[in-house]
Amino acid sequence: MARHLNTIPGRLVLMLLLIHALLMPPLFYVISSTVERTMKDSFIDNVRNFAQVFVDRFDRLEADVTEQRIIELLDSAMLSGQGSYAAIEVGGRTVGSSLMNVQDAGLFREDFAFGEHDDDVYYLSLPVSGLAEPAVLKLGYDESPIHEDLVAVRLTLIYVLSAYLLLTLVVAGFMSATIVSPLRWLQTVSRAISSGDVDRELKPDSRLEEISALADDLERMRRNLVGINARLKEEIAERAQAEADRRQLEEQAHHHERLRSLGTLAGGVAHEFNNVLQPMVLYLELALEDLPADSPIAENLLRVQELARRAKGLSQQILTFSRHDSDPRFVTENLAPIAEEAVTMIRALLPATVDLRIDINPDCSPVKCAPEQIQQLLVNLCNNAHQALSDDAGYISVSLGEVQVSDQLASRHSQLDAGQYVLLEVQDTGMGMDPATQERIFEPFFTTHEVGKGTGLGLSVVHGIVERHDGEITVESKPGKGTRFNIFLPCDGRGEQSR
Amino acid sequence: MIRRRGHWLVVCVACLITGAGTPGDTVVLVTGAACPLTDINALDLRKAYLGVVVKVQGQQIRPVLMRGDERLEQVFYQSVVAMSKKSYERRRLSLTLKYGTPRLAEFDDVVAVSEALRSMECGVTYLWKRDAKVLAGVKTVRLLWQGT
Repeated sequence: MARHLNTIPGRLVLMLLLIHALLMPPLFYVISSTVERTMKDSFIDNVRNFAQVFVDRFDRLEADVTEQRIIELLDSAMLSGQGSYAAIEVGGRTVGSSLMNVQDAGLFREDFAFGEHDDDVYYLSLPVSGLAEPAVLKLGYDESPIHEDLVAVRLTLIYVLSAYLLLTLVVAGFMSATIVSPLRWLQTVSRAISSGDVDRELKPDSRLEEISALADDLERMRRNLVGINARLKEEIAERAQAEADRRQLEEQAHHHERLRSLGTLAGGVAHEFNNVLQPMVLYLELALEDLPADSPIAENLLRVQELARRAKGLSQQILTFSRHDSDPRFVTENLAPIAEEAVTMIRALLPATVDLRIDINPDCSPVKCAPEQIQQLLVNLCNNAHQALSDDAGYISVSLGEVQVSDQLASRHSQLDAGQYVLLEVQDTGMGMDPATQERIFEPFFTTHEVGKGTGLGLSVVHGIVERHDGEITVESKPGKGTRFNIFLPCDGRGEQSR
Repeated sequence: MIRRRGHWLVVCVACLITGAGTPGDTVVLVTGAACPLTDINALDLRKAYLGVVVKVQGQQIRPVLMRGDERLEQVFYQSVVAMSKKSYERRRLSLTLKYGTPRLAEFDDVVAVSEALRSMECGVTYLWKRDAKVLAGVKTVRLLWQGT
């Protein structure tokens, strides 16, 4: 109950009921008493006028008037208005109308106000001077029609006031509905907005100025919140992206640092080995020169020499990875002919079942590069791709093109700056790699192949070559979906300068 | 019913206060002793009290109203002017406003009215008969009402 009273319709209805409870009784009393007074005065006016008319008639009678004539006059008085009693007292004798409702003259009690006696008859007595003897005319008029009319008036008044109250409550209900309905709509939409449906507009169907103003304010607030929300989301996304980029850069830097440390260590070891191997190969050659061609020792020494050369090759690869090798010859050249030459060599090395797809743009900008190293890079990557193909099925694609590295891309790679780059891509449809493997592929001697099949230096050498060219190498791979290596080489000769 | 009994009580109390209106009481029309008027019919008297200039026996009748006795006034309204108090007051006001008829002289004291009647030329008023009897300088002209 209290909950209903604390609503706008409840308060409105309660207020109206209180107002009507205070106003209606006095209103009813004032109207009712005014009507009552008017009706009673009107009744008394009529009665007194009727009576006086008959007094005048009796005053004009001849002294020798007959009793029959007197009775006729009294009957006339009875038939005029609501007559109940009509009699005349002449010389101690009473002559009454034959039409009287009240026969007992003893009931006569004269009235001077409406309803003075509890007999529903208004009695008057008036002296008559026209007869031979002093006479008194006594008349009585029925008051009950006035009482009935008063009851009817009061009932009508009650009906009218009740209808008025009902109509007022209906109008109040309608008015409150016009207020409450848009407010409830606003409440529903506000809840929807607070639940996350911020795109719902607060535009209630109301012509009430206050409601419209409230809705406009709320709508402005919603739009501001939507704007703030969008900006916050954007900011959060930007920060998350920045954080991710920062982490990626950190990881890349860490990775590069790790590779660099490995390169320094491996390069140092390879250099020392190289220092040992160089004289070893030299002395072996001298020893072989001194031996006769058919010496059985020569055969063994040749095998040793072969192994020493292989060891030297390995150390050379390690030195290439670690950039400890001798400076290659850098020239500014278009990579297209270099890549085509390398591809020709690769095609000869691959089985016929492997589909080698070539897409080389001959109009790429020239880059500062060491052509032999670029070719070695391509050979190593294609060899790696070939090893990833199971049963030599699938294809390897080599493409060369030119790209514009955006700020966004540059921000995610520590070795890239925004600008023009030549992009060398080597893609295969092989077994692909998981993220853990991708993390380590550039580490020297890391291999997923069984022992004896590969040295684990191919991709390390590729990494060393790219770094030497001040470029960047990225890997995109998924297990079972193949791998793609992207090598970015700057067009503006920064590779040379940074060296 | 309660309301009607209430009215009856009011009238009874009024009667007790005024000491008049009991059965057998009589209201008479009186004038100054010097006035030659000996009788006046009911119609002429009503005309006079309703503001019409009335001459009887060569004398212009000058009606005077008695106030202060509710019962006496009601007898006057019922027997003389034959209308309710409100209608009579409205009629008088209307005559005054419309035609400039002078308002009737009014008294609420029998001694004062008797002095006025003595000083006026054919002034008439209504009094209880018992009061009229004891007043000097006034005479009864006509019986207006007799209580039953």
